[in-house]
Amino acid sequence: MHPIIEVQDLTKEFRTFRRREGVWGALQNLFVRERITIRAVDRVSFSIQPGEIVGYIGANGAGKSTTVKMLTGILVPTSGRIVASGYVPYRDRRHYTKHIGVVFGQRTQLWWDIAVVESFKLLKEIYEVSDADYRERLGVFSEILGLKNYFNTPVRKLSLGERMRCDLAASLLHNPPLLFLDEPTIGLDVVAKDRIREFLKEVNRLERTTVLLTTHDLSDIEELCKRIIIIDRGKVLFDGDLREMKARLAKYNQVKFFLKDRSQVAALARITTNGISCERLDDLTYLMRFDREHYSNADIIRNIVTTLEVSDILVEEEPIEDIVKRIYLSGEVA
Amino acid sequence: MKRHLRLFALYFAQYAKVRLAYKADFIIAFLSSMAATVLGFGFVLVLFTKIPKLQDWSFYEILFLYGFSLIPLGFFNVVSWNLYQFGDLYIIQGRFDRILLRPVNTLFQVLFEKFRLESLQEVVTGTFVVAVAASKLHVPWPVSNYFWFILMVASGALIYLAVFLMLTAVSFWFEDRVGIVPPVFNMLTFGRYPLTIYNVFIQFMLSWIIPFGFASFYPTTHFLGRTSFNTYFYLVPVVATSFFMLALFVWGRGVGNYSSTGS
Amino acid sequence: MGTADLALPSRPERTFSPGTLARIYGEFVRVGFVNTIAYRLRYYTGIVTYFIYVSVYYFIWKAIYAHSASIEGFDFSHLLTYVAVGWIMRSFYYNNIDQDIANQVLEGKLAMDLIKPVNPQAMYIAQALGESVFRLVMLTAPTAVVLLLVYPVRRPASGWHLVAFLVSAVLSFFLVAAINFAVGTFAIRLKSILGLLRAKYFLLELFSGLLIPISFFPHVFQVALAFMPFQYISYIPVLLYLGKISGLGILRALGLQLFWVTAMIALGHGLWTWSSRKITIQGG
Repeated sequence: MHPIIEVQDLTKEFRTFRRREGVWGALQNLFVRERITIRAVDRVSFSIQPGEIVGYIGANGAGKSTTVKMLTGILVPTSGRIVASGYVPYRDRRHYTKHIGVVFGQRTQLWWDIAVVESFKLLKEIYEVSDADYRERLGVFSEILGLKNYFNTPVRKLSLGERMRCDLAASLLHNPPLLFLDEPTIGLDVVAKDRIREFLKEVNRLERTTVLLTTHDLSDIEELCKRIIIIDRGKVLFDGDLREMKARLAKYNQVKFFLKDRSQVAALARITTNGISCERLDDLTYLMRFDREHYSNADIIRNIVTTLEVSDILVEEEPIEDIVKRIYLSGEVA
Repeated sequence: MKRHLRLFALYFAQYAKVRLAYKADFIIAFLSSMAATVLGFGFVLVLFTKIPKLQDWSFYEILFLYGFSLIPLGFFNVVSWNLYQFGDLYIIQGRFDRILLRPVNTLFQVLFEKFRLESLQEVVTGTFVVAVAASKLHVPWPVSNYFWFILMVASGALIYLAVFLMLTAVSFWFEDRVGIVPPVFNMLTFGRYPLTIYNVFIQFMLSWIIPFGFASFYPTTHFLGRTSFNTYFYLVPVVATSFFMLALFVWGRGVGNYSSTGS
Repeated sequence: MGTADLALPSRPERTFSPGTLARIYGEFVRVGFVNTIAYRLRYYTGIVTYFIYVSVYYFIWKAIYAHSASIEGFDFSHLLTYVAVGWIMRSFYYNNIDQDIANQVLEGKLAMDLIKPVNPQAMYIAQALGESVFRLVMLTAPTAVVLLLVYPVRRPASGWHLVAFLVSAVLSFFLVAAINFAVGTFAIRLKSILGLLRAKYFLLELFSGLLIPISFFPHVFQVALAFMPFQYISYIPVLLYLGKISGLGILRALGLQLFWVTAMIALGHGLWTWSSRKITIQGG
């Protein structure tokens, strides 16, 4: 299949000025300023097939937003190549924008002072959506997202979760094959996050919309994405299947167990040997981590039940947060 | 073109709805705008209690000049606030990203994001003052003057737009909360006196660098029957168009720079 | 449940010592000073724009004085000095507190001002003071040098008049800051105060005497203006410079100026309390 997004050696450098501190620095800043060049995105390459949902993750300042800005045509790359939906985003920006939807979690795309539905009507004209399509999509969106109740509320009076739902609907009114989401769930509560994830899955299923989302929240990724791209200091560290990453990069599994009573605590020392650590979560609950290569789940469980009296045992994979954190810290995929 | 007209109508209708939802605010905005215009006349009014003439310009001639300058300005001011706050709202706070994500001309979106309808009072006030002054001065007014008057007003508005568009575009290169629009905005009043009272440098500046003279003084001289600047009068539409083209060019370069430097 | 259970705890005593207060607001002054980088274009272009302002008014007044040698006791050299000193002062006392408050409201950040353990009025004025100190060094001083070199500006009438003028100029800053703060508070209740700000701008330009000496106004206006604070921004300080006020009159002028500063600060405080109730009740 032909990829819908192709990125090759994408690089973006910014030139900024170093600011001096203090009172004397403030006067100096007016006249002499030291230039520094920052490479925000450094020879990034990847391609995305139609219908994929890809998580683009990285720490603050890793280059996520800069990549998205280049993919959406806001920024011109310093070097490298992007072709998306058959367009070169920065070159064909005005045509290209009709084929993409964009949501920035931090900032609304809607008009602050006017009612939600009026914003939609404006966008309908801006993107030249036909009356029939508009009615149909708005119907579908408002049903899945539950927008009806605040159609007539000005955007500034919406809660963050409501606003985000409206922003999502707005970004999809013209049925773009490509959807870019920058931190779509930032600041939302669990229920609101869930609603948005369900919606994205639904849209992806119904319209085969390709989605690229950046996020801090790895539960977004686990819920939505098969594939992730991890970027750090402008460079791609990992690009591949989420499950494969876990299989390859997870170092340990963990077992959570609940002791019957306090008398068991003394016996704990006997089970923590080489390559096994044990962490106390509360009086009777403990979390044990062990190296996957040296021990099997069965070994560990057998060991626990024979040594201790426990009321319950839970085996888990290493949480994805921990894997990603380790990747960030080491700066490479080991 | 037709699509843009439609969009303009929609943007405007939205604005009107919001504005009318807060009637008290609109009335206060209208009254203070009116007060600002009236206070602007203060200097000239006080001055002429002390002197009979400014150079060879009588009180009513100065009033005509002042009133005329308000008419194109009033039209321009309907959209000027978007330019006034551009550096802060669009560049520093990053709203320009949103503009770039839509399939509509960037300038169109910025200019019509908000309207200031109350500024039309300047058009009304200006026309009223011009009419009073013209009747006091018994200015001959052939029918063709209506055509010229409208052309001059349109050109004047275009000149104001062009000047401030260029100054606004500076924000694309210099990140600055205020920019240089406000100080030049305050120079608008300089075009409300006969340019002949200034030395050549200021005359040159107000004609060819910040061409406020072409939006007020040169049209007025012709309407008042002063023939010494007739060539300049016929140049007004040319100057307006040229400056506007230049402004569009600068704006385009600015957008390009924004895309390569980000914010 | 008895009412005793619901009794509120008594108000806490004010706990900040004067030293602490000086340090807190001193910090705002510093922030205002350092922050000016956000407005650097103003400093690159400021000297030029002020030079243009004064030059334009130089020629306007020159044309006016073509008809008479003296108007209301001002000859041309006095009037030129009046205009130049007025604009030089303005380059120092000018600030945008009103606009800043309006922006805070628009960005929904005003509530942040309420949760800081400081007096918002003092905070805004302290920041503006920091900015004005910056302007003094980077804008007022160089503008003054250029104007004094190019135009025949008169010297201050005497050493004492110079001292009185300098004190008066500092009071002008506080007067403008207090007025701007008071006007700015309207942003909390109104949706857009742009029109109000423009009106205030023209009002101050005209009635402060920046454009034209107050003594040129018709008598009725002069009487009315005597009961308003505006002429203490520009007219009175420049009269002190020119030596048109002397002896005990100097003390009286400075005293009245101080009175108006206090009155405007009190007004701003009252307006803030009245307007911020809207934030605490309805949310920003």
